[in-house]
Amino acid sequence: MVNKRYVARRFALMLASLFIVITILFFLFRQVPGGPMSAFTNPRMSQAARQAVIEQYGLNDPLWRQYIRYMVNVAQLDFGQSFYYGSSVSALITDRFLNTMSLMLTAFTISYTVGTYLGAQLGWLRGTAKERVGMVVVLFVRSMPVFWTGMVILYVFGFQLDVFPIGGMRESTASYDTTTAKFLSTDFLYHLVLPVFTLSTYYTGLPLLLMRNNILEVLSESYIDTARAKGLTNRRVLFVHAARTAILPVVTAFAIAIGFAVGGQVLIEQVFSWPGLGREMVQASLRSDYPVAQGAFALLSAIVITMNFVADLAYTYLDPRVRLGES
Amino acid sequence: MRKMGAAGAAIGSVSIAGCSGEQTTTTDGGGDDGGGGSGARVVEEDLPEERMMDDVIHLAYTEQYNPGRYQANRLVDQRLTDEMGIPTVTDPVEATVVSDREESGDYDIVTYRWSANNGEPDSIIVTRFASDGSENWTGFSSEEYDEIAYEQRQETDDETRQELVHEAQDIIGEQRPENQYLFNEYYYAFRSDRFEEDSVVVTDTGLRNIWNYTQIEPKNEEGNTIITNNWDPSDQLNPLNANAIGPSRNWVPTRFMHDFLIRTGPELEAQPWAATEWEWEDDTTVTFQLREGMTFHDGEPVTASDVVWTYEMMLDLEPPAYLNNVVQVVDSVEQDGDYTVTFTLEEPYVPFIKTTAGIVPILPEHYWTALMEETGTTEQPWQITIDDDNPVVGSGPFQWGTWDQGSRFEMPSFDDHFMAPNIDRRIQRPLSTSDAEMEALINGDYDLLDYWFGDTQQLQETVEENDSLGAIETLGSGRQSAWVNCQRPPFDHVPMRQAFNAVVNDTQQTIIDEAFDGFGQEARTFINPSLEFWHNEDTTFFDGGIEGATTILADAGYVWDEEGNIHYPEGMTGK
Repeated sequence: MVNKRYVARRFALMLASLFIVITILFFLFRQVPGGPMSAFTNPRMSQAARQAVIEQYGLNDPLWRQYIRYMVNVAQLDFGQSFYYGSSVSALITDRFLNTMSLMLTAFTISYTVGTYLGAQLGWLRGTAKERVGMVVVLFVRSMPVFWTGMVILYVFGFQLDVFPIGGMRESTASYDTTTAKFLSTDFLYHLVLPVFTLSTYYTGLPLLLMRNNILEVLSESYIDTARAKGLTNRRVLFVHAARTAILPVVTAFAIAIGFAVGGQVLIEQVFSWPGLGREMVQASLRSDYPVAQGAFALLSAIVITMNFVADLAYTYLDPRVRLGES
Repeated sequence: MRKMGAAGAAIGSVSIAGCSGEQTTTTDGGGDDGGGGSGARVVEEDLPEERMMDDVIHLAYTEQYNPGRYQANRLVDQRLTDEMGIPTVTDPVEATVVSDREESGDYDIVTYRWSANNGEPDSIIVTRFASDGSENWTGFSSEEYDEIAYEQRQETDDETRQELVHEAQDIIGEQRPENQYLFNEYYYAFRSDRFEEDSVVVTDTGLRNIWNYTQIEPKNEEGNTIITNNWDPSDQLNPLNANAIGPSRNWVPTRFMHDFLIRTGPELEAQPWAATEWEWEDDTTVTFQLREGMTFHDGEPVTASDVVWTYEMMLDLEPPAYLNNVVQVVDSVEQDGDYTVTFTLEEPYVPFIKTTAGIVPILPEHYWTALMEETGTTEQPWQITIDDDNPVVGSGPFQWGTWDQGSRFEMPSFDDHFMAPNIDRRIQRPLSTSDAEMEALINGDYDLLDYWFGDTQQLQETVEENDSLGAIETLGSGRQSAWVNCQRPPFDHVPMRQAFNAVVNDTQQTIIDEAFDGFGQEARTFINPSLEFWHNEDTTFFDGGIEGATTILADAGYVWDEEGNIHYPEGMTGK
């Protein structure tokens, strides 16, 4: 089981990694050529106006002073104001984060549920014609670039058949009073179908292959023979005895995938005009909107680091043989 | 073996001009295509290394950003390199880097599109080319020009001012800090099954203009709500923020929700709006008569005191966005009764009508003072976050509806306005690819396209195939141009700029046909013919193509080595 001292130490390490990541991000973005002022193009600002804005954002201070100010604010969970939007970075990122997570979590939940189940089945069916056909289909789908699949699906169901919307998160004329109403509306679910279908088709491959390989390994273990000898049904042997062991790496993969889900699927967000965090991160980097870019990447790293930790902890519950932090 | 013409070039290019053409004829400069057509080329052996021209850096937007412009740049750069022996390198960088490098002078040629602000030529004449112009990044400097540039902005007589503006174009035409690629033409599509085609108004900014949105006549229920793209989603709608009055994704909705003393009309002329008339009392005093009976969206009346408050607040707090056209221009503003406002200017400034009265929104004093108080932002109100909680309250033909930043912005029309729109509301809703935008127009999700950055020919074909679509073409107010860095070699030397102009002019037709699918007109000056009154169609330019360019350079003493590489005249060196 989990050792409390170990958890505390891991937690401290996590904070240290985050500190390093945020520091690197701070300096990295400022090394990129171009500056935040150049986002104000057409007609561009006059020198005087530009100078005034630069001073307003404190960009004329020495870098080290800007850094200290930033770190002090971040420690208080204040990520500052976006140069581009002029509004609070936290509010902006929260909004885009919800959009992205509603898309990515739905897709991942579907892929990992379906993938794990089908993977186990394919492992069990090893050597049969069904398995060979199954593997070809999986590899085929997995090899298609996701943005391409997205465009084909959009073309067929959106452009040609006109049964699903061609982009965005809701009808142009729809407006909702609360965030909850927005995400629970059928309108939203309707817009979610195509991107989620595209993403889950693509992401199902990984847990499926992982599960299949693990099942193959586990099936050769002697406790499986014991289970069979007891006269258990195939189904019970597969899902209660074999799958429980085989699922461990899938859990890690799932946890890490969720971490990266924050970054969204930039290409899919682009194809389906989804106002997610992934596109925002790319745009913010191109616009040299440092506060937004830094905030978004910091959130991404924080979640990846945390999810890794969570995956480790989850192990100890799923597999009683695993003990963390004991030498 | 040294050719005659070149030896004497350093003494004076004028005296040489006559003879260099005949005496120095040679064609075998650069081998295969290097010397082609360059009869005037002067070829010499053993030229000193330091006179060889370094790479000419053509700072450019990326191909992805604007494919047409990028192709045009490649065409010009290739001709300079292959046919003129001027080693030109296209240097594509991200949009945010272009302006930084341009302002720091880190380029030789830079290309983009630019237009006169609100149809007022002063925004180019002074800001871009006067020695102390705030956007004079070419570093061009001429006393003769400066004099004319400042004189035109003080000239209240239109005819005299027109002459000065023409003269300014001619000087720039002769000196060539700017070399036009083309005047862009645009093609805009809309649902002709939902609107009366005659009621669609197109201006230099396309369909996204207030005249169109107030006059367009819906044929049916579907036409009552206009859903459009608007390119990038709006991101800043605080009318005092610099970002709200710059890029059109913000400027368009901001202009629709506010009123201005005047508006620039479809022909780019100043038209009465919140002011029914105005009069120059002397060089520095102008009086506006406000329209009576106007109200803000919250029902409060619009009066002279709101106008005075808006300008005085700007003079007092100095928002960066209004430094140029208010803080540096206006001395004081006074009201006389509820409907008369008089401005006293620091010095005579004729563009005031269009670039100040036409651009400064009339803000409701009662709303903004309360908003500044509530948010504790009394010193820098341009920092206030404007959103559904703190919406815009203006008096314009459209009012604030709901804003789901990044997804949609809805503006219901304001029925009590003196120019109340015929439609019920406008919704802007971005899609991220032009294919999706076109599909949305075809299947009726969009009613019209405010922007089209996709393939124009493709859009044209789609409209022709589809009975329910209509389209309208227009000449924009801007031009694509290549500006050169007049502060460093090689373009600090006028003949080099003139030769560059000859090459660009010779390439224009190809640029229009190949890179812009025929949507454009040949351009010789920085003022677009859509600003008919100010456009000088007889502006000096240089022709003759490669031959002409070579003659200009040879006359100025430039020579070529046997490999066809250009060298500076004697006594001059590169960077």
